[in-house]
Formats: sequence, structure tokens, C-alpha cells
Amino acid sequence: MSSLLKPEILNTVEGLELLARIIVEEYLSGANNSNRVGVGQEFSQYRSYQAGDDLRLLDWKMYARSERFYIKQSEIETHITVKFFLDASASMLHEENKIKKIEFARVLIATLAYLANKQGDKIGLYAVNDKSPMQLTPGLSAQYFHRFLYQLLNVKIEGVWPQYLEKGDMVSEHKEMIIFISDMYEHQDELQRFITGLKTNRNEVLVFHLVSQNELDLSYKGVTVFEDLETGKKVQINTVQAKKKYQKRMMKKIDSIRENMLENQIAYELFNTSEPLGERIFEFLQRRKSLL
Amino acid sequence: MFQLINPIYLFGLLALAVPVAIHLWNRKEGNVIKIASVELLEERETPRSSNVKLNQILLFVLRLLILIFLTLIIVEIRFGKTIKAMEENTLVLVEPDLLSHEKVLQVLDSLNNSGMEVRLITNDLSLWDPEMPIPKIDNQQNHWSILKEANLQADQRDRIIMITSSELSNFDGRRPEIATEIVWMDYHNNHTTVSPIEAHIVGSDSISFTIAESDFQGTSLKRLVETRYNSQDIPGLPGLTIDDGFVSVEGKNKLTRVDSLKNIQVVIGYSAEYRAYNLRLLAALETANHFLPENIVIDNRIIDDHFSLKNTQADALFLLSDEPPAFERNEQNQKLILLNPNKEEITGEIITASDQQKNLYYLAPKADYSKLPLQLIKLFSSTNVLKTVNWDQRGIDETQKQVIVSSDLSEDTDKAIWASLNPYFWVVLLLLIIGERWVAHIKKS
Repeated sequence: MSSLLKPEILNTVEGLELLARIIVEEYLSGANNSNRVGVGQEFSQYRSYQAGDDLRLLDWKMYARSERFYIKQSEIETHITVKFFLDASASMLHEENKIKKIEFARVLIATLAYLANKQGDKIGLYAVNDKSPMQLTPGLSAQYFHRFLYQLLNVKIEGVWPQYLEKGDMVSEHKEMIIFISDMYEHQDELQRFITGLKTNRNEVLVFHLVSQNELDLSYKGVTVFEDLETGKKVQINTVQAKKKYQKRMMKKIDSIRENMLENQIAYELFNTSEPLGERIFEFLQRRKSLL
Repeated sequence: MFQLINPIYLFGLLALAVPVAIHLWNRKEGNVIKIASVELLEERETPRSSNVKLNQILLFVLRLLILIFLTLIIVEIRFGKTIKAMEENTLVLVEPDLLSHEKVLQVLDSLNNSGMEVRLITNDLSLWDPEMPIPKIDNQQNHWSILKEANLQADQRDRIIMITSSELSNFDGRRPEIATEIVWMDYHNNHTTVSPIEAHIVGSDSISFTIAESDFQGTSLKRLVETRYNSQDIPGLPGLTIDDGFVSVEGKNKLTRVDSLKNIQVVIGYSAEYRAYNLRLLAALETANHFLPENIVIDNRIIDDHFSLKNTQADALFLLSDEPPAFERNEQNQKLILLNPNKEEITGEIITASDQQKNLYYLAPKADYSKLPLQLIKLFSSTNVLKTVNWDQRGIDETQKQVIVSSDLSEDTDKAIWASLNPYFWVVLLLLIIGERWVAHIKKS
């Protein structure tokens, strides 16, 4: 899988879809996810039985009335909307092993979107920065998914996260899942303030914090001049000397974000971009499944 | 003033291209890593980026300077002593005669203003004062002895500047041995001076002059006969006048009385056996008369019973006889020349002076008489010639003005004048290297 994480694959709609499918199929095929379907409290609709459906989901009363096999579906799986919030600020251009964070984020979003799309969830995309924000209102169709991927690829990564951002219609009153993908770099507290503001009683907010390995442990050699992607500020550091303190600060920052998120009932997930993406997503989904 | 000992090594400066190239290469390469954020990299532990840049430039400049100084050390620059120091130890000697030249005065003024000591070439080497009148120096100064004296007076001058007219007559005797650098500045009159050096009466109304026309290139002697004896000014000889029988130059100093040249009265007495000898003597006197300014009047007599020397006023008495008659002689004014048959000619001189008596001479009869006229001229030659100051203005050749550089000092003075800058450069280089290491250390930490 990791061999597919190449810019030429990552930067095309087909490649991205392929990647998403491979990840999903590889880790989720055979996984029984039907327990999620139909167990919802709110009745939504009947669906005719198809081979492979769990027999336990058959509505026997319906069968008695109509002599046909129907499966009762709940509202949860049909009306949930998955909104992806992508931090499109320049810091997402951070690179490790020639893979940029934004590329990693694209695969992550594409995979989850593929999964959601496959499940019949609406997917929407909100790429935010202060220069060229982009939004794709949630939709659901195979075509729409392609459009989604196309937009995802065309997100311009520049600028910073805006200091004041109105939620507007980005958040609805309906049940929805908001997946927030960011490197969590902010200049004051604009990012965390916005994320915590997204949380309502009816929605679910997930934060995927993308970190690279070199970001975690400052694994650069000797004296290096670092330039901030967003501010352009240059700092010269003897990495050997600064490493320990940096790592401490990094851990503290991660802990404080995690704490802040959990306090606001927001799920927080730390994604190390150097780890195999498929495994991480699978692991995460497994955990989610058990939580649900 | 500086000189390069090994200028060829200036090519070493091409090595400057190396750090410049590295610098440019580094700039092009850009060893800056862009990361998401530097907020976790503490400013306190690291210098600001501007400092980083400044450090880099400083380091770059330091390295260039190290290369430059290394090259300079190899090239070895020697620097002349500062002009100030040189001036303080420079003595300027000037010929008093030249003080009338405007140009010389300007030069002296500038030299004096820059702190040099200016002295006149006189016996006591008196200090020059722009205000003082030009002193009149009658006798000529021998520059060699002046230089010797000047060198002794102020021990070890760095330099003596001689402002002279470089006349040959001022250089006499052995050239001195001097450790000091001598700089000659020549100012000579380009005009020709005409000076009378001898005058005497010719006939009853004429004066014969021997004239010297002299300039830097050479001197030529001319003989002029001026007929107008009573004339005050003599045409063709500017400045020369005759006044009351005295010839004077520019009316200042009466030099001599022209008519003081009297005839030379010669009395010859000979005995019969020396008749042939007498004829030779007469011929020789005739020849000498031709060359001498004075007129020789000869009274030739044979020594017989009538021969008497009583009350004779003759300037010279030739007695060609084995037994010369005795007489009262004025030893002061009268020359007595006797035959000396016993004395053979030894020294090539036909006429030799006696040791015992003044104005007593002996003739060597068997000598080569072709030399006799010359010896007679010598005998009668009058000291009565006009002596004007410096009539000979011939210049001395440049090569003849070199003094003997005394060996013990020349080496030292050379070093004193040209000091190598290398010791200073080494110090600077050391400081630069230390500085470079220090800046590099700061940059790293």
C-alpha cells in the first residue's frame, strides 16, 4: 500500500480513488459492518433483501404481511452527513520522505469519503485558509464522489487559518459527522476555538491531528536553518542541542490539544504520517466500531 | 611609498574566488528547511535569522580577509618610513649663490616648511633664514669637505639634500666616505659668464686681455687686444671696466693695475768661451718673450774689462762664465742665474734653484736646451694675473658626484628606511583567524 503513496498517484482523481478503495477493501472486506445498519432507533425505510445481508435484520413481520424479504433500515446510516474540514493553510505543505502532509491528508479524506460514500453517507468538503477557501456542499452519488476527489485535489494550500471564521452554513442542525484534518498549528487559538465551536449536541466531531515523524522528534542533522512555511520566519537551530526540549514541548502541545478536545467531547486522533496509513485507518475504525 | 618584494604572488588573490564561489553556491543551494511551524523552536536558544545572515556575511568577509592577508604576507610589502620621519632627519645644504634664484627659494621654503633643516654651504654651515640677506661668499667651498663636516656634525643623517650649481671647481680632493644618502639637486646658470683672467699693457695704448667664457658645459679662453686704453667700458666685455689703470669687474673690486706689468730687464754677461751658449740662451729668451705677457728687455754683454754690474736694475742676471764677477745683489728682487758646470742635470730641470740663497739659480750647461724656453717662462712667470671669483663654471659630471658609501652603515640605513609590514600582517592574520573561529563557533551553537 505504502508503495502507492507517490505524488503521481496521489495527485489524480483515479489514483486517489484507487488508493481509497484499496485501503478500504484491504482492511474492511469481510468485516461485518451490518451491525451498524438497521440498529438505529429511528426507522427510516425498508429495503429489499439482498444476498449476503444478515438474516437477523430481516423484518419477519413484513414478510408475514407481504411474503417478501425486507430489511428495516434506520435513519442513522442514511441521513448522516460526513463533512471533511481540511486545514488548507501553508503549514500543510510540510514534507517528510517527499510526501507532503496535505497529500497524506488527501488520502485519508479520500479513504474515509470512499467508505462513507459506499455506506451511503453524504460527504462534504470544506478546505479553509484565509486566501482561497473552498467548500463543497454535501452530496451523495458515485459521480459526486469523483467531483469530491477532484475538488480535494484542487484545494489550494496557502496562507494561514483565518483568525475569525464564521461557522455559517458549514454546520447544520442535522445529525452529522465532522472530520477535521489539520496539523493543528495555529498562531493564537483560532484553530482550536473554531473546532470546539463546531461541536453541538447533535453532531460528532473528530479531529485528525497529522504529525510527521521529523516533526515529532526533530530528526534533522546538525545546525539547520528552519523556515516557517506560514510566516517565513527563519530560525537557526542546533538540532542536537534543541532536540530534547523540542520533543518535550511537542508532547506537551499534543497533550494540551488532546485534553482540550476531549473536554469539548471531540474525538482526537493523532496520525503519524510515517506510519502505514491503511493500518492506522483500520485501527481507528475498529476502535470507532467498538465505541459506537 | 611601498614596494612589493614578491609581486608575482599577487596572483594568490585569485584564491579569493574560492570562498566567493562557495558563498554563491551556498546561497543558490539554500540549506534552509521549510517546516510547518517554528513556534516550538525557541528563539532564546538560537540567534535570530538576521543574526544568522549577519554571521554568515561576517564569516565570509573574515575568510576573504584571511586570504588577502595571507597573500600580502607572501607578497611581503615593505613600507617606506613616513615622510615626516624622513624630513626630520634630513639636512638640506644650499649654495649661497643660488639663493638669488626664485625657484631655489621656493624649493627651500617648501623643504623648510616640512620641517627640514636648511643650512648654507659656508665654513660654519650657518642656518638658513628666509629673512636674512644673501651672504656674499668670496672663496669657494669644497663640497667634499662640507659633506664630511655635515656628516660629522649631525651624526647619522638619513639624507642630505645638496642644492648646488655642481661646478667642477667646487669638487676638489678625495671624495668623502659617508653613510648618508646624498641627493643632489642641480641649479646651474645656463648663461655664459665672461670673465677676464689676465690683462696687460701692449704697446703704448692697448691692453691685452685673456677672457674666459665659461658655462656648465665648458670653458674657453680667448685673447683680446683692446686698443682704447682710456675707455671706461670695454665693448664685448660686459661689466669689465678700466678705471685709473685698474681693471675691475662690475665696478666692485679693483683687481689689478694693468700697467703694473713692467718689462723684465735681463742682463746677460758671458765670457768668450760661452759664446755659443749665450746664443742658445738668447734664442730661448726670445721664445719665452713670445709667450710671456711681460716684455723681456735683454742687455747682452761680454764679460771683459769694461764689464760692470754696478747699479744695475735688472730683474735677472745671467752670468755665463767660469769666474763670474762679484757684485752687490738685491736678493729680494734680482734673480741670479749662474753656470754650474759641475752639476749635471738630474731632475730634467735645466734651471735649478739653490738651497743656500734666495733667487739664486744654476744653469745646467749640458742639458737638453729644447726645454729651456719653458723653464724660462716658469722662472719669469708673473703672479700678476686677474683673479675673479668663479670664472670657471664648468659643471661636474653626474657620475663624479657619488660619494663613497661607508659599508658599515649602508645596510642599517636601508633597513631603517624600508620596514617590512609582515610582522603587523601576521598579527592581523592571527586576529582574523581567531575571529573567524569565534564567529564560526557562535554560528554553530
